[in-house]
Amino acid sequence: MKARKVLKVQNIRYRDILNGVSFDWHQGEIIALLGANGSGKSTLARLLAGLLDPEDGEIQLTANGALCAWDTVKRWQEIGLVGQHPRRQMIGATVAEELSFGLMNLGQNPRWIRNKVLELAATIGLEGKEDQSPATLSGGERQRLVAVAILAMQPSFLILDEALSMLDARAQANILELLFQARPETGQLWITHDLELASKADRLLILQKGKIDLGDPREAFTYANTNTNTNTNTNTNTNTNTNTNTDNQIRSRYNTQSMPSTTVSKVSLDSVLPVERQSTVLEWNQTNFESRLFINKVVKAGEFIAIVGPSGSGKTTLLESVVGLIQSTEGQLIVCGERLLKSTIYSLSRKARLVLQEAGEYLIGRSVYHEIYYGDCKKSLKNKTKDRLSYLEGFGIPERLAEVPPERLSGGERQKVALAAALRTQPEILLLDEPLIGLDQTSRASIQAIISTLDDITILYVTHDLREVLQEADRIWLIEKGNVVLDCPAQSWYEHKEQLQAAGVRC
Amino acid sequence: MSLLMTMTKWQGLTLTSFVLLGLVILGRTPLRLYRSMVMILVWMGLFYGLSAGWVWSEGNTVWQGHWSMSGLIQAAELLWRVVLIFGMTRLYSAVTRPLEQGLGIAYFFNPLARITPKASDFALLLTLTLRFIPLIVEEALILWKVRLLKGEWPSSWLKRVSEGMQLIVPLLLLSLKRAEELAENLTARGYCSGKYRPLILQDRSIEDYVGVLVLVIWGVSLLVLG
Repeated sequence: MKARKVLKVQNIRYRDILNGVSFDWHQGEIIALLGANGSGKSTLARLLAGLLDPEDGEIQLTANGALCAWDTVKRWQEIGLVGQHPRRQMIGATVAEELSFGLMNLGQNPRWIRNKVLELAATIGLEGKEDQSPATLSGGERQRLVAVAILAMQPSFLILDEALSMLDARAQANILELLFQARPETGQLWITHDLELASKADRLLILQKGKIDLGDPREAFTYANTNTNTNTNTNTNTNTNTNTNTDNQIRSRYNTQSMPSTTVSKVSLDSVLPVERQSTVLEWNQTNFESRLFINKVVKAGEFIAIVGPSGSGKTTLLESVVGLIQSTEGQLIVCGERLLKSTIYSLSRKARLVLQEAGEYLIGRSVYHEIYYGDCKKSLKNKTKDRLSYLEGFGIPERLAEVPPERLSGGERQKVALAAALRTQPEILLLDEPLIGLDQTSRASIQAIISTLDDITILYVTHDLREVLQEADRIWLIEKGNVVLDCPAQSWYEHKEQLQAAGVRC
Repeated sequence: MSLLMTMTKWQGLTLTSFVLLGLVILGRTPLRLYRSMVMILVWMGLFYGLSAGWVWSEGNTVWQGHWSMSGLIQAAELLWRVVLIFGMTRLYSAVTRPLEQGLGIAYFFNPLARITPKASDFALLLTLTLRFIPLIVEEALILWKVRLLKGEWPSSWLKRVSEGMQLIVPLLLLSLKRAEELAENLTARGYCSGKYRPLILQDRSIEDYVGVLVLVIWGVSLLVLG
């Protein structure tokens, strides 16, 4: 009989991030680890995987109760780690190399590896693509590739550090299927902010103030049941309310950080003139963007459009088209009454601001203040007026953070800075590309609160999760294979639920 | 290619010309691929013809010289060799993707790993470069987009340089972060020095053996013919 292994985490301490973390993790058990941004979840994952050493405490591996010393077992073979960004985890130059890298290091026979690679590629739908560069694959395919490459090493434990958060529902379901198949032999730790995903685990762990609170698995399943019932509700408002209630229930049960009441004051964009509703601000006339997107749509001033669809369907291309980052090959795009041409890009781009996906990762200013007021002259930057600092505070960014380099901020704070920088020039159109991705519930709530105050701005909001925007959106566009296949009022989303879910949209 | 660089006689050049012609036909590459070479070769031909064919007279004469027949023949041979090198390089890059080139080099480094683990590390380095450069380019493009979204790109060169410099620091920080992630990924997959072996999925076919045979015969013939 094969030995059952247990990973015993005992009183782990690391800097001021982890302050005595202890739990047991059994082979075959799925644990969901929740916690706010910056609470130390990724640090814990790296400690478990042996990429960092704890300052105090121990991580022990036992097989059938007998202790296995780390100098006698290969830690990387026992504990696999899959991160959030598949493109940053690829090692191999080809799909085959990616799948074979770990197996080669295990010292397997090359001929066996070759056959195994072909078999693995077939199981994840990549047959015939073995010689391709992983860069040519979609996000979902890449994440599956990384997960399978690590699972092929047959680790006893597997850590998924927000590995499913960037995927649409369809791609996520594909990976979950793989994970559940591997479950009998692999203990899994799902680090996530997604409560729905967490409810599918056997046990919940909440990391808070450097310590672990243990959750009762029965409570997780209760949450899952409630959530399923909620989804069958036809009323949007009731649905959202019930979701919030269940969120609150789980938070109170597990003592997680409660959703903050909206601490953000209404964002002051005084100089933006009140928009004349019904005037057209965006108009795509039979516009084709390098065959990646074909669109013929109109957006009225002040509208909030939720744009959903599977990965690679053309959602980001649509947003980029508005600010001229991609030029049309056919047709025309009219922004605020003026045709978007090379000569008019800069004047029109002032009227529309795009917040890129993971904008918080790509802040180029020296400090928070410099990031928000980027492009202002030196004299103006030195002069930190009260108005300017109160503008920061309007976004929940305290004055003390003004001179802090952006990379020292938490994920939620960085995202707020990106949003503040985009809105600083008082645009008429705000384009948001998955602004809540990778953020914890607290940060999500505060960003959502900011967005909900922007009544006078036309907003195009790209997301995989319709629930994020149902309260605010006026219309929903579903994009598939470069075409807007559905344009419906937000209130009637439930009539199209099946179509949306089939496209991988969470709703 | 190395032998080609050292060839001095027309027999070797003729043989190589036939081999190249054969490879072009077998590779079924369209002739327009080689069109871009024409202008370069015309200029190089003129340069070699004018410079290598020119003979200065001996003695204290300040300016007296002429083009000699032997000099022009030498220039023609030189140009012929350049045509062959360019042609073969063009053909190679047209039928072999950079990915395959890198893997091929890594594959041929494999036997050297028995002598020193550094050979294996070097092979891995090549593979990682093929992965890492596009990743960094991707990150640089995102930073570039971020900058463009912040406002107009200045028209003055001085300001452009200053703006460009401001982007270098975040790019450097991102590159270091990505490099660290890469190192962690290598560790997490159990890599240690000297262990890397590239995986070639295809079985060796009869065409491969014929290719190697032709290459050997061609090489030996070049050595004999000079």
